[in-house]
Amino acid sequence: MTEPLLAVSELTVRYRRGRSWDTALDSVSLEIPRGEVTAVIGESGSGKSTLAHSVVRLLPGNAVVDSGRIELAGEPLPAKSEREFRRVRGRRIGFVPQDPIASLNPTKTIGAQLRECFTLTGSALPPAAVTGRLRQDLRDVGFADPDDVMRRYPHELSGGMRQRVLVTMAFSKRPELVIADEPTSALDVLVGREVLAAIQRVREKHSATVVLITHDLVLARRHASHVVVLQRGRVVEAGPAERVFTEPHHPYTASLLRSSARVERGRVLSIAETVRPRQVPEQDRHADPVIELTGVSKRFGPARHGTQAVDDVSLSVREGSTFALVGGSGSGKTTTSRIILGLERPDRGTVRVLGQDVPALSRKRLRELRRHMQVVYQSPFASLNPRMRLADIIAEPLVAYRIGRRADRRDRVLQLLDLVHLPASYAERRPGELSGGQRQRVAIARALALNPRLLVLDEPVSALDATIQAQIMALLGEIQTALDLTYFLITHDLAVVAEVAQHVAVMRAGRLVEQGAAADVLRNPAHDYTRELLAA
Amino acid sequence: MTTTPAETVARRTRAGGLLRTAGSRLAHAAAVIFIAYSATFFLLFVLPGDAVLARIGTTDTIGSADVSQLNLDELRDEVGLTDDLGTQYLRGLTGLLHGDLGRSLVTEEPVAGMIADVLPSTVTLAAVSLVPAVPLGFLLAVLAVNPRSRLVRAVASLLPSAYVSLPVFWVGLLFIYLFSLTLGWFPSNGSEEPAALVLPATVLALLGAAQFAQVLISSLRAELGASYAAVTAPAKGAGRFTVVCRHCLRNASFPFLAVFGLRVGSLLGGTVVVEMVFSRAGLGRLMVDAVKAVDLTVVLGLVVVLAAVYVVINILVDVGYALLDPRLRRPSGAGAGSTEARP
Amino acid sequence: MTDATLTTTTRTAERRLSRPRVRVRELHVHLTLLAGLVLVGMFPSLVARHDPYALDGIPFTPPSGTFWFGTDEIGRDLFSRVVHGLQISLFSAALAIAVALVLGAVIGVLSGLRPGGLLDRLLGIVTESVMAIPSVLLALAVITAYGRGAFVAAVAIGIGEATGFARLIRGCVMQASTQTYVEAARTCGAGPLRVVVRHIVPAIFSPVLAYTALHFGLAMLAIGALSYLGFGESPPSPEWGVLIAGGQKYLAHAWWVAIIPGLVLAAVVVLLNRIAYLLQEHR
Repeated sequence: MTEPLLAVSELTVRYRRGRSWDTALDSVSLEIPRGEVTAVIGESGSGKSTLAHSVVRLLPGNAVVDSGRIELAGEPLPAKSEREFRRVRGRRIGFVPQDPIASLNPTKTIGAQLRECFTLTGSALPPAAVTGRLRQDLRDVGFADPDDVMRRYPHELSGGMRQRVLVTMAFSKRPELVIADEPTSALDVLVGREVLAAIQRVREKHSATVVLITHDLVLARRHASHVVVLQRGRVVEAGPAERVFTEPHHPYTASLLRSSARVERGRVLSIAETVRPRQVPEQDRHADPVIELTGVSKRFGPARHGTQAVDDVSLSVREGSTFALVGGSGSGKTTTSRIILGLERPDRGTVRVLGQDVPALSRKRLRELRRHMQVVYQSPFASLNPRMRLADIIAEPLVAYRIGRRADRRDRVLQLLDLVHLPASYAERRPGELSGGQRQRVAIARALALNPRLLVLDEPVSALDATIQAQIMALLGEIQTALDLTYFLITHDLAVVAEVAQHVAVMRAGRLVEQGAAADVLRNPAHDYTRELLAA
Repeated sequence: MTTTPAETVARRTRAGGLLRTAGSRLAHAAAVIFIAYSATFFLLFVLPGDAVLARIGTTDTIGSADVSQLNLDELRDEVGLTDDLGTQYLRGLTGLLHGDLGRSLVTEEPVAGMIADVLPSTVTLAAVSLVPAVPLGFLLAVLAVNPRSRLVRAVASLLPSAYVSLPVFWVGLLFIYLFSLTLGWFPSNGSEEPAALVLPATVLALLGAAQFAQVLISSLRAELGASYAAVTAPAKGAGRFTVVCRHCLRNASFPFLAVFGLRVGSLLGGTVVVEMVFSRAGLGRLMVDAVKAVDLTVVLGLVVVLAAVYVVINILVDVGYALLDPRLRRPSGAGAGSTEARP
Repeated sequence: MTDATLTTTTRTAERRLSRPRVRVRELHVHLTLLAGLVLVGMFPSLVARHDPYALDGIPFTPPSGTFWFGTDEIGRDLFSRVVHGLQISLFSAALAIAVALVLGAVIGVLSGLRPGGLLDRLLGIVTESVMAIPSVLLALAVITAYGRGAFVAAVAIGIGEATGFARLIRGCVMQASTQTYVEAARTCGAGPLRVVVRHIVPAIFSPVLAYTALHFGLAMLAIGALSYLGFGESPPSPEWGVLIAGGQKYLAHAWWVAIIPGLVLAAVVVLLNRIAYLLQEHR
């Protein structure tokens, strides 16, 4: 191996949290080979973003670098003066931030913000040459009409377009190194794929080195030739991607690989290959469907300018099965679930849940029905009131329906905590003291408090780390069998569908493009959109 | 309170033409003045009744005149309030549409004329203090976030909140004591000579600057924390000063604009008090005298005029907003997808 | 990058970062001071050694060991008068804020629960109309109708302040009710009353507390201004605005009579202002 482009040695970074210090990076040493893509893999709290920000020295105010040495192309980065370091940023190191929405100034045109890359670094290029070069750069990341993009303001572009503008920005001064901090985590799968393709194209053209910070193993396997695995601020494994993915040395890497159903023996499996051979149970139960939608439509906003959120959707969910509704953001899947829950009224169509005509129900009857259908929300951080104790959160449905006396409720809470595998001592804690996975367990316990027959799972694991996702999905499966529940699962992730669902419907722009038994749809997709999703 | 003016403007621009926006804004403005007028009318003319009537033109406090011994009809006749309330209200409202605010119950002069006489003095004072207040507020805000020296930042961010905690009439007295009585630099009262304007204008300019700086500092801090200022711009090689001046200052002035109308309203209140401290002629003197003499029509006229000032300032602020903020000028959705290309 | 330079940056950073802890301590110090002030306000004779109305000294004695703040034009002890004035100031401001808080909470919660609804729009335009009238003028209009006096002045200030409280509470209620945990509570069967009491009120408590502290100080200023103009308490009351107005005539040869009461008022408001800031920082 030649001399590395970037060498980090013994880097320790701590954050102040209230009165205590959290160590984000604990004497991290690593080397990034020149001219290749290196993926830094880690779950939340592993310190991977802190590492990215330390290299460009853009750490938040409560961070302190305790020790360490960072060398770029054999020379140490200037430590003393911010002014000196500024010459490195932009010129020698480019940075692609995580959140494309907040990362562009909302009141300046794209062109002005791009041109700033040159004016700020004191470029000798005349303005006309700058514009010409930017035009070519924008074409390289896939904009057909660069002049039009440069005239626009950020709010006039989609998230994927903004991220491609940020990629252009990072590469505009032809830096040796570009660090991309989770560049696709805020984007839909298909859009994210385009952004990564753009990064790859530009990187090859300008023969730059890229550090890709990510939590996504599939992404790392596909795009990186080297891999660094971080766990709780320490490097546990580093090496060529081929080797790390086939024979991981460290047990943590091995467990990460196990948690992803899609990476096996160093190879990325297609989703079709991961479909678990599950019998479709209880087909002959002859019971009424738990959920039945016929021709449901819902429009938001005024007649001409509004959006058709749900367009002529019909589906039916059998008792005891898991039905997955799949789609990207803005596809209307969440609106569909809100219609089922009676939180939105459909414009047209019939909605029958557990034999009741939901839109026609009085408030009182709807409340009765909700006893039997409960929800688990996407973000366990937002769905639990931070000011309440877990015991009160879990008991809230019981109190609301005046079920049992204080002591009975207390027993039921303990029983539910046990069901979701949380210790009874947690009853007195508040959500802030729990990890994301533990909070989601609490949310599940609350949903089960009333012994419902139907659970609506709104992206139940998408806010969680891969290893935690696997645990929560396993828990949900266990509970389904034990309590004979029906699941209506909303997700953007076909890999989750492959694991748990018997039926799947794919939604796009308010319409169902395809539905059927999960194994059939995933193995032999009939619609192009499903195929694209499967290929992502 | 339903939506911020900016939201309203944004929605309207999307829905229809600028004309409709302007029309609905004007209707809203008229409604605000109408409600302010009506509420004050009923407050002044209905609720208190005879006890107030008895005090008109006197400077007695409540209860010192024995109501039962007065001939109320005669009094009513004297001040021209014989008609029933509904008729009076309608007459007042019709007058308002013609720019007629009625006549003073005490001096019988037309109220509009009385206000017009003293208005230039107050407007001069307010304008002279507002002009330096805005740049001074911006300067304090930049000093509060930018320099390397922690001391400068701390002082610049503490000064505004300390100054707004001072009673404005007391600051006026302190200035008189220091700069007029002790140092003899400026006259302490009078409305005629320009030098008499210096002290009251300084008191108010500092108040305005402090209030503006408070708003700006908090919105600047919020903008500096946003990813475009905290990550993207520095990653391009921008220094802190560049980030503040070229990116954040403009975005931070939108929240500032939104409260500008309110702030000017409270500055007008301060102007009234300052005029009294420095014994200047103006709306303040007129107002205090009218309240002391229970001159109902003058009080009502002042309310309407100042509500109109507030409304006009807010319309100007809305226009400024719509012109300056591209998110409102060019709402999204229009052809956002046209430049999308599949590589 | 040498380790030595890193260590120095670390040290300055650590000094900067130790501020939060200082802030908690500062908040506690300020709250203790405030508690002391309230105590003195309730029992002024604990610290005032003279009768605020008694002619105990020679007129215009400058501040000294016997008369800490000096004496006024007829020889009353200014310190005792200022201490007794604290009671009036605190009580009036408390009354004003109570009026503002009750009115503001009712309007804010009613309009915030269903934003954009008819009631919200109606209350919105009424609130805006009240805001269109500068608060001094609004207070003066109320005083015109009901006569002068500390009680009327306080209520008048409270009505003006209510608009700000209404806006704040409406915004907080709106924000709180879009939280996922509020929808979660609804879907698990909690009724509207339970949602408001268990989920929304606790969420708006702390911003409203900080706002209340800030506006308590501003109400003290406004009440002082009304008294200064001659519409609140009247002489010989030791209300601070009255003291300042009374001292204005003697500014040239006895500055302390007007300046010291104002300084005390300013100090109390600065204290409240700082507490509001620290409460806001320390949610």
